[in-house]
Amino acid sequence: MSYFEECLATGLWLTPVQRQALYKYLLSEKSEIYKESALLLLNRGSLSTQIANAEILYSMNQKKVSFECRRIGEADFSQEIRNIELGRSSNRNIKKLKQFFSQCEVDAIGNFPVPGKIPQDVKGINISKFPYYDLNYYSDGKGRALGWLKKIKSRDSEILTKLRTL
Amino acid sequence: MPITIPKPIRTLPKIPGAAVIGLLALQYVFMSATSEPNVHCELKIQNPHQSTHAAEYLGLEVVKLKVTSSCNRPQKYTEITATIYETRGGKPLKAAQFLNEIAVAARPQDHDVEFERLTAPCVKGVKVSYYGIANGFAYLESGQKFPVNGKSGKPFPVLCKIKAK
Repeated sequence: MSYFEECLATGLWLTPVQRQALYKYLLSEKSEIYKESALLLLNRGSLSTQIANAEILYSMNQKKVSFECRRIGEADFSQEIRNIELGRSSNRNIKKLKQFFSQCEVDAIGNFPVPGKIPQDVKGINISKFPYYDLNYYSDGKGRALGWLKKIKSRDSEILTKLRTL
Repeated sequence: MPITIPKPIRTLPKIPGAAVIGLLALQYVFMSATSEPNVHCELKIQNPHQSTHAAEYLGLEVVKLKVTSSCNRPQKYTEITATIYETRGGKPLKAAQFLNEIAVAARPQDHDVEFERLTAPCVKGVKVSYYGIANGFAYLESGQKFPVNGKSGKPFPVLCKIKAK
């Protein structure tokens, strides 16, 4: 079992550092898949994907893209979990969507892990308010300027290397 | 000598009575739509405890704070900031903080959401008393935003000391 597969089964017990490393890992490893998904979503207006034990639904309403999720096999999708606003530039929108997909997949893995040895049954979907692509994540909501300063001082964790090698 | 009464200078435009009634009616409609009576939300906060789950399945020593946000109406999500305090010599010291955590309702009509990942790594064998507090807002399906806060209760002894960050 690879380290990535282990993370897929860890769910709510993933640490904040593991979740952020997963975001970076997915963003680089699935870059091409995310690009294709972004184009599909922009053309069709909705897109459904799966990761771990989660089914994800992205839907577009004018310039707003929403993310909902449910455990595979369940009847109802959740309330909207996250959303982003798209702009006019097609290239910029694809870049934004790639980051959004990676964030949403980390949220999905964290809440609906692959069924395994760790029993997990939670009422609600637990997420952090600020996504990793928002500079406010680095400043805990104290502004993008401070977030930028903290981001340039931050380093990739060892977990990211572990994800790429093990 | 004739007395001249000065003519009052009108500084404010006169608002027609019908407009005042209309504005009052509009305010009433708005208030009744946004502050539905008997809406209630609360945070139930368990005592911080050592997670047997994490120890058994992952070999991790962690102190966990479990928070449930319950409303008597369907909610979209609750956003909180939670803190675990340890008491030393009767004084509270911040041991761990969880900023801007959100729990989204997994199904459309859910009234309750649980925060399950408020955990902090700890060193086993050291007895420490902890309590937890949390505050934030519950966002209802109706669009209302309801302030919530709570405390776990008296400091509770745990045989695991939260590691300093």
